[in-house]
Amino acid sequence: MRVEYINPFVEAAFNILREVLNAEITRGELYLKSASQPVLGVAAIVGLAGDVEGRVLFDMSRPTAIAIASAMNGEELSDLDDLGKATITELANMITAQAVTKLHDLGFKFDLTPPAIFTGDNMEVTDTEVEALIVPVNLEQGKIEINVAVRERA
Amino acid sequence: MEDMIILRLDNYFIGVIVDSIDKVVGISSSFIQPPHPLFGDINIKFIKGIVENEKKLYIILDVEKILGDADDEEDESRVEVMGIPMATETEDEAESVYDGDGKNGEIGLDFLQDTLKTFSRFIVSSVNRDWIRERYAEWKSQHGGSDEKAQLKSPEDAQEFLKDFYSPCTGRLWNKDYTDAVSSLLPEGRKGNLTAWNPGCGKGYETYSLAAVLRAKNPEAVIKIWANDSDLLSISTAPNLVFNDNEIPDYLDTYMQDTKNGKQLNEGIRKQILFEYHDVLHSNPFPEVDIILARDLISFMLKNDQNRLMNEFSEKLKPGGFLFLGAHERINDPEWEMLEASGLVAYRKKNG
Repeated sequence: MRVEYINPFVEAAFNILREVLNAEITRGELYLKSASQPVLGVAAIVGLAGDVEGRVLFDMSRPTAIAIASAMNGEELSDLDDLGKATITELANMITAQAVTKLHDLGFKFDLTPPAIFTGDNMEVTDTEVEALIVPVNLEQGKIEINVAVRERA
Repeated sequence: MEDMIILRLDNYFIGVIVDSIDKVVGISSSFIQPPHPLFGDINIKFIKGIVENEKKLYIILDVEKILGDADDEEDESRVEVMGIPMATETEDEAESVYDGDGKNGEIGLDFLQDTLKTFSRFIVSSVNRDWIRERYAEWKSQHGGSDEKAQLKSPEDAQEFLKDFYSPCTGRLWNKDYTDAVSSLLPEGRKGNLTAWNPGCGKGYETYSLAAVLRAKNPEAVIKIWANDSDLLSISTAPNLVFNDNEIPDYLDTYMQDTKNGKQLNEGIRKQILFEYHDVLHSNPFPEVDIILARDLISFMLKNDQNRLMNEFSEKLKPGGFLFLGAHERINDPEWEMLEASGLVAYRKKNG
């Protein structure tokens, strides 16, 4: 993954999560993953196109997703209902959009696809010929893994 | 009811009935040390490592060697890079690991291989075995001539042992002599695309050096270099690397520009390079390239990974393309033609 792409995603995740959750967050060590990776239970995905091709996945457990959606809405949600899903989707959109804005400022041209959300057990994601950068973010509500898999367009 | 230990060996589960299990001790793998020559008298090949825990010394047995299939073990010991013998290894040498009886002078070298792996993640294989043998002989004579005294006791010892292993100009821009040697082996006057891959590029010193050499020899070519490293800190530094005046060889002056942070290679050179955070053992989308620069990289990978990477190099390099390994890394394979210039060794992939 191109070095210049890393910081914008890390910074955007940090900024947005701290802002919307109004709490301290910490970042784990960044690392790379290849081939198939398990998905924790709830995954919001945003596609990227333009100078690159790829996608960003926001991966978290169901309880974490419910807790984050509850915190963002200021009300206790008992399940990941439509409001909860819309909230997580919006969170993914906000983080990716801010990262892409930063990248635009650096001269890279990216477009986003509308976000989608997947929920379920025993899911995994497979990227052929693209390794994923994992940005683990630790919150009061649990852990989010931001999984960025992009490559330069040939 | 008997006490039992269940071992997993590849796909097999083996139950071992024992008189009793005293206790189970959890140990971090990072604390495991290679076996010491002290254990040479008791069949060393069955000891995987030792570890000190709460003032007790534990000996970790190598279950795979004790219970594994002898044929499998022999086959594994013969796995070498590219699937065929490389450098000057003989079957006898392959079998010598751990088989020394303390009288043939090999056991000290075998122990040293283990400590190098532990302390420096340096893996001895046919790629570097010639250098290791020479270096061990020299090291041993500097340490009283005995295998026991020549053993490495700390990571600092391992670094000292390996200090001459690294290629010239590691961690800095190439000097004129080295540049001239590389330049003499590379294509000249190329038009169209000229591509290179520099895995394990670190902070990018060698990538920038290569980029300048290629530009000087091929002013009309469209040059593209994919440079990557799995050390995030190093690779993050690479795109904006700045240099002090005293670091810049004269021949690079024409490619330098002043910036607010210091001197950098100019935009033309920097645009040739794409620095990526990438683990070389993961799949990649790079197209076939004309040049691979991988100095002192494969010696720090497990043998199977060395094998995989050499296969990857073979697949990604165009016929007639050039492979640069470390100064003390060698391959002996009919697929590759060895080239030499001013002491620098490189390999050209044969056509077809």
